[in-house]
Amino acid sequence: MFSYFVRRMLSTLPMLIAVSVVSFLLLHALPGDPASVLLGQRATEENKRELRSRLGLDQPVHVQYARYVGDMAQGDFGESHRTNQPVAEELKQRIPATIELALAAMLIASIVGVSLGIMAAVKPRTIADFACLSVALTGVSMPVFWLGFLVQKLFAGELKWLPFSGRLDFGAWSTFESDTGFYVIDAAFVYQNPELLFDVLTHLTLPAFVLATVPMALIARITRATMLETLKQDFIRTAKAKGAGPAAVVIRHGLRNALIPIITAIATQFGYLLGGAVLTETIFAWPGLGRYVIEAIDVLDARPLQASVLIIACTFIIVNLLTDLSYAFIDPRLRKRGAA
Amino acid sequence: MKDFVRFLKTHRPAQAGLVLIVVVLIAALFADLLAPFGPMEAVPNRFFAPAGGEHLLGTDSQGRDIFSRLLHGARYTLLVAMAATLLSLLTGSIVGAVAGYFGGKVETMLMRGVDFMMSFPSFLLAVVAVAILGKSLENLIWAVGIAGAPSFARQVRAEVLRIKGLEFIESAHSLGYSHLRILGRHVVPNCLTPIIVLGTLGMGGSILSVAGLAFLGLGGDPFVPEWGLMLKLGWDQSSYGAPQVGMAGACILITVLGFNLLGDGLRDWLDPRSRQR
Repeated sequence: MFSYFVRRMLSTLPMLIAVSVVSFLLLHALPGDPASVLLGQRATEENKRELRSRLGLDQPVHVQYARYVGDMAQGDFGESHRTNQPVAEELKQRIPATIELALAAMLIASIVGVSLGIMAAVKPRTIADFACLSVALTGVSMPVFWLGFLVQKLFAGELKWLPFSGRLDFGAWSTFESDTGFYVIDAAFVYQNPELLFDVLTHLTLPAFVLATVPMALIARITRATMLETLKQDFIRTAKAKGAGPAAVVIRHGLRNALIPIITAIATQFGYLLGGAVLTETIFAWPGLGRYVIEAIDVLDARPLQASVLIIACTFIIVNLLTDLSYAFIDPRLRKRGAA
Repeated sequence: MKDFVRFLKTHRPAQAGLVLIVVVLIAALFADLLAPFGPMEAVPNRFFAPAGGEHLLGTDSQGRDIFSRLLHGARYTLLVAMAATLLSLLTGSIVGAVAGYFGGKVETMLMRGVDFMMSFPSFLLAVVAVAILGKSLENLIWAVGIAGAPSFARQVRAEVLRIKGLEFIESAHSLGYSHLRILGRHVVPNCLTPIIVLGTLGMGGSILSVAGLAFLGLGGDPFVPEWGLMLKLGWDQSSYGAPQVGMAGACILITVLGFNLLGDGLRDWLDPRSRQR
C-alpha cells in the first residue's frame, strides 16, 4: 500500500507543474500587452517600462516563469491594479469565505442526499423513492443562479426570515474583525458570542443551500443506486435471517458496504463546488474566491486571476488525491492487502 | 429505431422529456410566426408593463414584449448550446477514439492532456477561456465547448477500448484495412449510440453553463434575447426585472429538464441491465 501512496502522490506533480505554467501564461494570454494588463488603463509609458524591467517582462519566457514560481512559493502573488492591494492579503479573506461556504454546502448536500438516497432504496417505488428521484432530477437541471434568486425573494424578501446577502450584518457588528477569515470559527471561539454566531449562521444558510442543490442531487442518485444493489446481496439476507433489526441491516450492513461510491461522489462534487461557487457568490454578494475571479475578469486584473486559478486548480488536484488515498482506509480489503 | 419507439412507449420520463424538447423546438423554429412582437421591437412609453392584455407576459425595461423575446430566446439558447455541445462531442470523440484505438504513447499523451484539463473545475475553465477570448456569445460557444470536451474524450475512449477487442475489428485488421478505414467505418459508427446519449445529456449541461456565464456578465451584448442574458438583464433591474428573471429561469429549467429526462431514458434503453427492470 505504501508504494501505491507514493506513486499516486508523485503522479500529481506533473499536474501541479502544468497548472502553474497555465496560470503563468494567463498573464500573456489576456488581451493586451502584459505591462498594461498589470497596471490597468491609467498606466503611462514610463510606468510600463519601469514595471517591465522590475518584473523581468523583457527577459526570456523561461526566466519569467522561474521568477513567477519563486514569487508564488514565497506567497507573493503580486498586486491588484484594481484595489492596489497585495493579492496575498486579499486572498486571506477570500479563501476562507469560499471554504466556509463550500463546507457548509457539502455538509447539507451529504446529509440530505445520503438520507434521501437511503430512504428511496429501502422503500423503492414509494413516495420516498419518487421524492428522491425528483430531487435528483430537478437538482441537476436547475439553473442555480435562478434558484438563488427565488429563495432570496421568498425567504429574505417576502418572509424576512433570513438576510438577503453578505456574510454578516456589519451595521450591527461594526467592531467585528475576523482573525481567521472563517466567521463561524471567529464567532464561536474568538468572540464566543452566541448572537454573533447566530447572525453569521443565518447569513450562511441560503447560499449554502443553493450551492448544495447540484451535489445533493448527484449524491442522492448515487446513494440510491448503490444502496439498491447492496441491499440485494446475500449477506443482507443473512443479516436479516440472523435477526438484526431493520436499522442495523440498513446502516451497519448496507450503508457501510455502499460507502465507497458515495464517498467518491461526495469528493468529486467538492470540485464542482469550487467552480459552482462563482454563481452562488455572485447572487448572495458573498466575498469569496469565485467572486474574486469574476471581479478580476471584469477589469482584466491579471494577478488576482492568476492566483485564484492556481489556488482553485491546486485544491481540486489535492482533493482528488486525498479521495484516491482514502479508499485504502475505507475499504478493509485494501488495508489487509497492504498489511500482508 | 423500432426498438427505441417500443421502449419509449413504456418509459414515461423519456416521453415527458421528448414533449418538453419538442415544445421548445417549436418555439425556436417558429418564433417569427408565433411571437406577436419582434424580439428587439420596443413599444415607446410602455416600460415594465404587467402581464396580461396585449403583452402576454408584460414588457421589459425598454418596452419590449417579454413573451416574444422568450420565444426568440429559445432559438439563441438552443443554437449556442447545440454548437457548444457539438464542439465538445467532436473534439472529445476524436481525441478519445484516437487514444483508445492506437493506445501506447499516443494514448498516454492525449489522455494526460485530458487529465490535465480535468484538473480544473470545468465551469472555471470556461470562465477563464472567456476571459482570454473576450466577452461575447460566440466565445461562450468556444469556452463551453472546450471545457466540456475532456469528459467526452474519456467516455468515448472507454467505449472504443471495448469495441477494439471485438472479433469483427480483428477480422478487419486481417483483411488488411487501413487504420483510418477501420476507425471511420467500423469503430466510430459502433460508438454512435453512446455518443448520442452523451450528447443529449451534454445539451442540458451546456445550456446551464452558457446561461450561467451569461448571467455572470460574460455573454457580451446584453440586449440579445438569449435566456441567460435576459435573466441577467432582469437581475440588474432588481425588483422591476423580477418577472423577467422568473420567466427566463423557468424556460431554462424546462429545457434542461427535457434534455436530462430524454438523456436518462436513452441511457436506460442502452443499458440492458436497467431494461430488464
